[in-house]
Amino acid sequence: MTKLAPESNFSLTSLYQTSQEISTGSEVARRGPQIETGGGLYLVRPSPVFDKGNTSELLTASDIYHESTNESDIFKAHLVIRRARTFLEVSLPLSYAESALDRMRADDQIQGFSNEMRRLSSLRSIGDGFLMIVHSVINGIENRQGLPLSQEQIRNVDKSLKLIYEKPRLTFEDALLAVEDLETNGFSTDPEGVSQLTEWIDTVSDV
Amino acid sequence: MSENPSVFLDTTVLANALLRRDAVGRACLESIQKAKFSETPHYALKEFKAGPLYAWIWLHNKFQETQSLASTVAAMSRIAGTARRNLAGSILGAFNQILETEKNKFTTLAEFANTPNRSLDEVLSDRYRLLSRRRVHDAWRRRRTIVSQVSYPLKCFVEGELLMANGKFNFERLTCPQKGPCALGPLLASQPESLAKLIEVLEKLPPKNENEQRKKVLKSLLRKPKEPLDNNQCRSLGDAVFALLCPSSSVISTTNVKDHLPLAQALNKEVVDPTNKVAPPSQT
Repeated sequence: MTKLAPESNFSLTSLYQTSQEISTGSEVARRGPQIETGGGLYLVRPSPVFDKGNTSELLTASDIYHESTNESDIFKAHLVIRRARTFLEVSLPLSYAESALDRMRADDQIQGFSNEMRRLSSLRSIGDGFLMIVHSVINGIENRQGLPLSQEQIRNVDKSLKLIYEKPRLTFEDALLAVEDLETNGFSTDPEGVSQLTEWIDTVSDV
Repeated sequence: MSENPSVFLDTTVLANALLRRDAVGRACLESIQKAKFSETPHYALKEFKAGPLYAWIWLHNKFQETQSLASTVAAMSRIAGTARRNLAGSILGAFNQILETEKNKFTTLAEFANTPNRSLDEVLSDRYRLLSRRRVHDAWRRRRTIVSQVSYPLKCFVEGELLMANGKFNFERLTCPQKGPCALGPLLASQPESLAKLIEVLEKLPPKNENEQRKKVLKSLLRKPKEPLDNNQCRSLGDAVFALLCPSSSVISTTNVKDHLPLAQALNKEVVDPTNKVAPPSQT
């Protein structure tokens, strides 16, 4: 049975805006971090800040989710990675299909996946190891200039996402090893402007 | 000359093999891997560290400092030397066109369309900052293992450690020590006949600042063989070092045949260009 793909209009912005107030009598509650329960439903977890309870002051989203903190970004990353991996999960069996329409659907999933990867690239505070893998995957897909990914490439990309899901704070050196794995199947991970940058360096360094 | 002779790499081939992944880089790397024996003098590592590697480090650190693609490109356009400003400018023009396309791919997303330009600029600059970081990291790690041997060790050249502080790369030293023994001078001065031949050929070449400087240092080495070279003199020697140190059983491998050839021929040595059959990289 084919799983339903996540909706492609998912927006991180909705995750950032988690401070909607819920008033119950004199009590002021706030929505805390959301846990995805599957099927597009989210469980609202009470905020630990609220539990400590100074109810006289209204809290804002930034009190709870500092945009610059790692923890907040890692939480967002986990949600987005899960969505991204679902796109891959749906795409993989379709990419084996004999029907051209199925293969088109597989390719559509990768486009949705690419958008999730770009969302991940905004979570800059997590670290260079994390970003190295995210940007390598984005670049690799862009460098294929619309050509569908092979099954092997889908599997390798998924493997690298699993890695940053489990170890978002991995070191840069560990990330490079993962990127080398990605590159084994002709998946070129440098950004498009690399040749111009290299030419510029050669021109100015004048050996 | 045998099909796969032993090669003596100059800094251009070493740098291409370590820093480039395009057709030029691959051709240089393959020529090293196919060679019966490959070596490069320690002097090439010194030039590499102070030249192309330093340029990548500068670029990385600029991305880190500005956290902005636009600001870094602006800094790059100011940095190119006068002699090559036009060429560097046209390369940056092509680079800017690519960046514009990359930017458009991101702005189709609601998150980036509604955020200030600054944050998109930061995200896009990460792509190139991380590319630079990877290039520097990989090149420095492979600098000695890429060849069979790094020969003619220079005690005065400290390779040093590539350190990272506050997100920026740093080497403790890029130049010759202010005071202390010079290892290169005595090594070259022990070949007075070859020095004289190089001076002779340089006299015949069309006047060029680079050749004039080189000739001056070679003459100084002949006159005062025990006098240490300073950093500028050491740098000025450049191609002459490879002609003098290349063993007679090897060929000099360089992408700059034009400058190396007269010097090598004066000492009865051969020069090859591993990129000879490689088309120049596209700049569109």
